[in-house]
Amino acid sequence: MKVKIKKWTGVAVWKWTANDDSCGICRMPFEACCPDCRIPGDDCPLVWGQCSHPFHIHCIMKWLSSQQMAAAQLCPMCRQGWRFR
Amino acid sequence: MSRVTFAEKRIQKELMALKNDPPVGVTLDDSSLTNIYRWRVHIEGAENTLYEGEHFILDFKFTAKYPFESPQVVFLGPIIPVHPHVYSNGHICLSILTEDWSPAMSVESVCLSIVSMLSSCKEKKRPPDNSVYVRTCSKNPKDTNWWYHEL
Amino acid sequence: MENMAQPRRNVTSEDIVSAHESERESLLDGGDDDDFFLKGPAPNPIPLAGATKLSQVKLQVEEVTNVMRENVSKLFERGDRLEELQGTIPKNMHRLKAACECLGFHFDLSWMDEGGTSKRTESVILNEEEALQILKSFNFEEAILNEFMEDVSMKLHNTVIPKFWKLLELQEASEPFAVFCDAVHELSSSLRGVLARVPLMERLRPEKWTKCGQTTVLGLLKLHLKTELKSQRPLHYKNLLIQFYSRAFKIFHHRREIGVNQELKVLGLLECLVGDVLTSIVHETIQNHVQATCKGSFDVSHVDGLEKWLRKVVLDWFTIILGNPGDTFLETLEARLLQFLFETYTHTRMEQLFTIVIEFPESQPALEDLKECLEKTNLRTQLIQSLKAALQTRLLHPGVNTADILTAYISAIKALRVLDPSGVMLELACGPVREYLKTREDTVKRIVLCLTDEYYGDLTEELGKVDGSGGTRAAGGTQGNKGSHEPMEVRVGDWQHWMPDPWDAAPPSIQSLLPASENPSDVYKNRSADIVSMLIGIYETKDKFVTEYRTILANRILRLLSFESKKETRYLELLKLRFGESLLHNCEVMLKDVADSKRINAFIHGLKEYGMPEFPSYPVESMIVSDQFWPTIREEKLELPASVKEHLDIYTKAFEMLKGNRTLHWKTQLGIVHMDLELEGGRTINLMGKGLIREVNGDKFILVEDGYREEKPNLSLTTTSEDDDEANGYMASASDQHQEKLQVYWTYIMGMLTNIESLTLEKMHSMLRMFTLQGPQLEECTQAELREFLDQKVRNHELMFVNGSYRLVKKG
Repeated sequence: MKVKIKKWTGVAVWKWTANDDSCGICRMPFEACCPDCRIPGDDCPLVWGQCSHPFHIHCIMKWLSSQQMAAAQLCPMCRQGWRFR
Repeated sequence: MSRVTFAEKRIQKELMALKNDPPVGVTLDDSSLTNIYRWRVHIEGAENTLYEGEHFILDFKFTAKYPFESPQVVFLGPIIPVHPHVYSNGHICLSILTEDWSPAMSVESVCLSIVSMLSSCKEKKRPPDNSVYVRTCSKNPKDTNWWYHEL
Repeated sequence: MENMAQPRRNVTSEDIVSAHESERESLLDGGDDDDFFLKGPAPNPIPLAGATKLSQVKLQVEEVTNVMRENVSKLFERGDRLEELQGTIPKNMHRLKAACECLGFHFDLSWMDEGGTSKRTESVILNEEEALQILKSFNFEEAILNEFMEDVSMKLHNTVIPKFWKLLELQEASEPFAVFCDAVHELSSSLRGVLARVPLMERLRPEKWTKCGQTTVLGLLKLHLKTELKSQRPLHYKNLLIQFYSRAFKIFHHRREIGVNQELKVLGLLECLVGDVLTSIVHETIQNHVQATCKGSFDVSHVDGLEKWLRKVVLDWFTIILGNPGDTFLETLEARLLQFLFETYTHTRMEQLFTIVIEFPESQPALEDLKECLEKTNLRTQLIQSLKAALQTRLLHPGVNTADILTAYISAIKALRVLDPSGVMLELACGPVREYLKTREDTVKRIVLCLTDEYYGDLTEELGKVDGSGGTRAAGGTQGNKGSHEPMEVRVGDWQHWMPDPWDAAPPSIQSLLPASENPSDVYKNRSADIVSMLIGIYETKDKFVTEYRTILANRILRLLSFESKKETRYLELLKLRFGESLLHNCEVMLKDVADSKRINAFIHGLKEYGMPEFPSYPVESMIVSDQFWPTIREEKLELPASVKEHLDIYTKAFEMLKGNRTLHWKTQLGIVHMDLELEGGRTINLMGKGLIREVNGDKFILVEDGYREEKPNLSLTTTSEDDDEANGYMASASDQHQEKLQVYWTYIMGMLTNIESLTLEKMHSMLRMFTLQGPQLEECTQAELREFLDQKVRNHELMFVNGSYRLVKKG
């Protein structure tokens, strides 16, 4: 007896390629959005630094803009100089 | 949402985390929590250190810009640990509390740093400029221009 | 005799001495003879200063003689008088006697006749006037009257009344009607004579004469009659009368009856004899009529009809019986009977109140009637109590499932709002319902279902009503919502129609007068809140509802995997207004996921055109979920066949290409598969398995071919709950069972069609019914259901409909 599948509709959960962690700045899971946003995903995406630490884009922007001196634009996790990847 | 709520949300998370899963030697003072922007944490001197068995109270004050701005942390009386980086008014000379602060840090990490700072102490003494400092400093330790020696 | 009236005092010696001779006599006389006789001569000889013994004795003798003289003269006088009288007595007595006889009374005067004077009787023939005069002169009227009354009384007591009751006791007679008429007639005639003499007696009556509270003879007579009647009536006289009058009520215009009633009226007996009988008959009639009209029919307004009936039928009858007693009497009677009518109506409705409430809105007219009646009668408390008790016994017990209780509660809200717009009655009667609902575990779920799924309830429209009074207040929610009104505001706006609360309303709590807070239980305190608020207000917090809704939404989406987003979005918007935005934020994200998934699916399939990797055998679609916002999905390890995995990977890659930095984790236990099963013998079965697909590695299911029964233990068509809540499992299985049933029928049908080429709907249906009788688990299928199912198969090209009968589509 044969089974012939005609269509498969599955359920999947999307995840960022970022190890199931939370954003170090707002402490919310990456799949959730930052506290300022309402909708996760494209509306509150992640960014990675050169050091490959990810953060919510809004969170890292807030941090960077609060640091006046360019020299102080450091990654919150590793304190290396921050550059967007 | 404003920044205030951002700070609150973050502080709230830390609060729950500290309550449910505190590190060794660190205890949250529940009764102090009338205002979310001000906490008191009890720490104990680590074993096999000069401060073994001693018990101190840390006072945390958060601002609306937390976590982008470091909290204000001081020791609260009556017992201020005698440490070269701790002034008798409770002010602490610790770089992460000012310039080395990062939003990825937390109350927990600060407490651990302070405990580790105490633990690594070789000799219990007050800072050399203690009396002057205490007389001339401002209330907020963050206003002080700290010169950080090798720590 | 003179001096009789003089005040007495003892005569002193000085008096006597100083008195003159003539005076002396009188002085010495003293008082009456009686005095003398009673007391004897003056006790002590009057001591006279200086009087000798002789003179004393003299005095005494004189005294005595005088007295004696007096006595004798009196005696003589009397004797004269008596003689005089004796002369006249016989004559007067005879006159008197004649007068009395003229009026019909007889006296025995033989006592007067001594020795022959009887011969002196004069037969005097007088006419009435003279007789009256004589009697008046003798002051004899009252005596005559009394005599008359005595006479009548005796007669009544001994003869008339017993006869009357005796006649009535012949109730075994076939015609109680006639018996009664006869009896009354008899009574009437026997009293005729008496009545005829009344006017004469009336003339005799002195002015200001009262006896037993009656000022006329006729009145007194009637009183006697009544008394006698009542004192002698037997125990069961009422039955007879009831029969008589109820019959009469039905046959309205009976001549004899009229006559009887007239007679009774004349005798003044109408009220006393039949009064309460009439009342009870009328009451009974009213009750029966009300019950007959109102029983079971709630959708028509009856009160007006009943009122008209009362006026027309009952009052007219009364008028005939009582023969125009006077307008005021009729008016009061009417008022009383109307009142009774309303009360009866209210009582009847009270018994049916539970059913009325449940059957709202069909029963709306009945409720409006009831409202009207309640205003006129005083039965409000009783109504509330009765409803409360009915609810308690019939609704609030473990035998009723929560959905039904909720439906009943909602109907009750609507119904009681009609009955009492201020909502007090609702509050009082339904308090226990709310309390009970709280104890049921699935109340929250049911309420949410009612609100958001049209299948389960009609509250979706209610949800849309955001009226000023209740809706926005309950939506306190976030800071953004400034729509909350103060309670007073509503009333101020509507002051022209403002009515005070009914008397049994609880006094307003302080809280309900303050500006609305976010506590939904405040809604309960505000009685004009709408239905949804009332439901939500059963619980103190809104959280439960929100969580529940989220879960239900999740289940719904995952089950169907294709979605009517518009409807759900609308619901969401409405719910947001009630519960506040923040709490429903999650649901918004969920809905957005659905929309996004559609787009992604479309995009990925569109990629084919650009030469992107294709799906080798079958297309894959997905529902992509932001799992932070969805209820927790249970993790289950399910191994998928390699081919499936392959397909899923292709999809994932496409997704990753589309969305940088993101990837997909498949929840393998969820989803929908469209598949064909090729059975031996070339039959194919088309299946849509939903939800949980277990162990479809290879062909692990058993097909029992002979009996056309298919066991599919591994291809489960039921949905297990995908998340923590059991609830959805319940939901799905209802519709899934339906599916299952149809699937089983399908196998039967296919079997039949294979053997018999074509079948009409009717034949198929009857054959199926044969099978269902054999198979224990199958339920009946109606012809309509069957037809629908068959048509669906036709659409799917599994069946053909040719010339009125169905055929299988041969699959090559």
